[in-house]
Amino acid sequence: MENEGIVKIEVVNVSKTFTGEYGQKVEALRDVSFKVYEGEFLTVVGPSGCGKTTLLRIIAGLEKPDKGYVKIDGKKVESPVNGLGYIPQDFSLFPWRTVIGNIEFGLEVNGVSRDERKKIVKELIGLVGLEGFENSFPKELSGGMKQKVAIARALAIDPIVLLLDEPFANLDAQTRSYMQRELERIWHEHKKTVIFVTHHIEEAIYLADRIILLSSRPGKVKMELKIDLPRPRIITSPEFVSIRAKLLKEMEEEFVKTFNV
Amino acid sequence: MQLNISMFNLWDLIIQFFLQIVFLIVIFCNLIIRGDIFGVNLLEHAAASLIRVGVGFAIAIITAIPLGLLIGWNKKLSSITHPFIEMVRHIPPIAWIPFSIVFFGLGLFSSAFIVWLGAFFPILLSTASGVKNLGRAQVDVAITLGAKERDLIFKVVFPAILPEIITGMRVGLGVGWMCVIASEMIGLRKPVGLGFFVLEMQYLGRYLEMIAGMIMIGLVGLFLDYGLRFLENRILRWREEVGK
Repeated sequence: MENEGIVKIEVVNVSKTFTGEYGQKVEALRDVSFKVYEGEFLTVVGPSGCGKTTLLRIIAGLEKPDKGYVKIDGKKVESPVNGLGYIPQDFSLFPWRTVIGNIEFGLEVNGVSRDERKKIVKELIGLVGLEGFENSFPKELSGGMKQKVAIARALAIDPIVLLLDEPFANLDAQTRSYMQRELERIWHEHKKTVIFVTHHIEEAIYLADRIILLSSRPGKVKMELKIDLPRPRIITSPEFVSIRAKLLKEMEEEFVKTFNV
Repeated sequence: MQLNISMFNLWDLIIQFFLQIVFLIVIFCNLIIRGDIFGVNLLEHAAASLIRVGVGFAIAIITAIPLGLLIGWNKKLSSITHPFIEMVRHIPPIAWIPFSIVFFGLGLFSSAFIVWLGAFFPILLSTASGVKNLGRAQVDVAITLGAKERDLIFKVVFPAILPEIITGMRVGLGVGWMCVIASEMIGLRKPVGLGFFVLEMQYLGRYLEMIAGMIMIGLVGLFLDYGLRFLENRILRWREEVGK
């Protein structure tokens, strides 16, 4: 895809192989390249175990690629990137901090003053709709609310980019589609660049400006697909269904491969 | 005041038993109100032991937690120190008492040293294993939000493993309390302390006083644990509990 605006993130020929405890080699990613444009919502889809999480961790600088590199805003990622909104699947909230305490964590470690923090947190609590739960601990929240806190916490530092790693995987179907709508709304208000990793095709089509399909292990870019459907998207519309069918077929191939190896 | 079981009569036995318990309660109260034959109150004995255990336990907390964090965080350090720690850990604190007397004399510090030995390892091991079992996600998120190493340790790792640390402290305090009693029995201190008291009463043939001292040891241990559990519930309000 060319000329979509300013390039925000560039992933170039990234490869990564892990060595297990007994010396067995697992190739997670092979020559993965793609670009993400400013303000774009990109979803990365692929069968489980295809290295999606590894890819996100490499983009965030939490993991070093064996080959290739990642550039964010034209700068090469060498060490963990400060100021990313990273939202993992689960268990990422700090259970010993209240909702407020969690959201303001990033501000706190970046030395933002107490008053300023209060203002930002209040705004975010309004944005994600957690009024009345400011002083609750994570254990008192439902799964969907927990992920709202995680999203607010990521947004608090006004991140360069949002990285979401299957953030809704552990939610029930209803909560999941509700959270998808919420995320879309929040993204609309904040206009952040987003990379969203999932194995859930419907979710990917519902949210994405563009989808990148990774093959089964080792993960390679198998296909890129621009989604031009007007938002909010209707998952039962014929266009939606036909895109879904197409992606599902590709995904199925990869899925079968994973289990034949 | 000796147990008299010359008549093999069940009824007699039962009466004797309850009588002795009544005596025991009276003696226990008397020891607290009026003191022992040297005029030292049982609570003074308890206080002396508590001070010794307090000093040793405080030093154990100060030393074991930072070291546990380091060992848990650094795999290399963990494998280097492992054999040394396991070797020292398996020498019972009681076996250290002669060493302690040689080095620290018969003062507060020789007792505190034994307590430290007893309390140090449970706290160290639970802290280290807490760090090792820490989930990746919280640390990753903290790093990407801009946490420096210092923030990671004080604002993420430490609070995250606080439940394990407190569990280690509860075990450690229990062991420490046993250690102080043992150390007071073997290296006789200035004549206060529950361990000293119990042994002295045995020498003097005052067996009910001896048992009253033992009960006091148990009671203090119970209150110490209540104290720590109270603290635990206050500090760990956020914890998700599974059991009922």
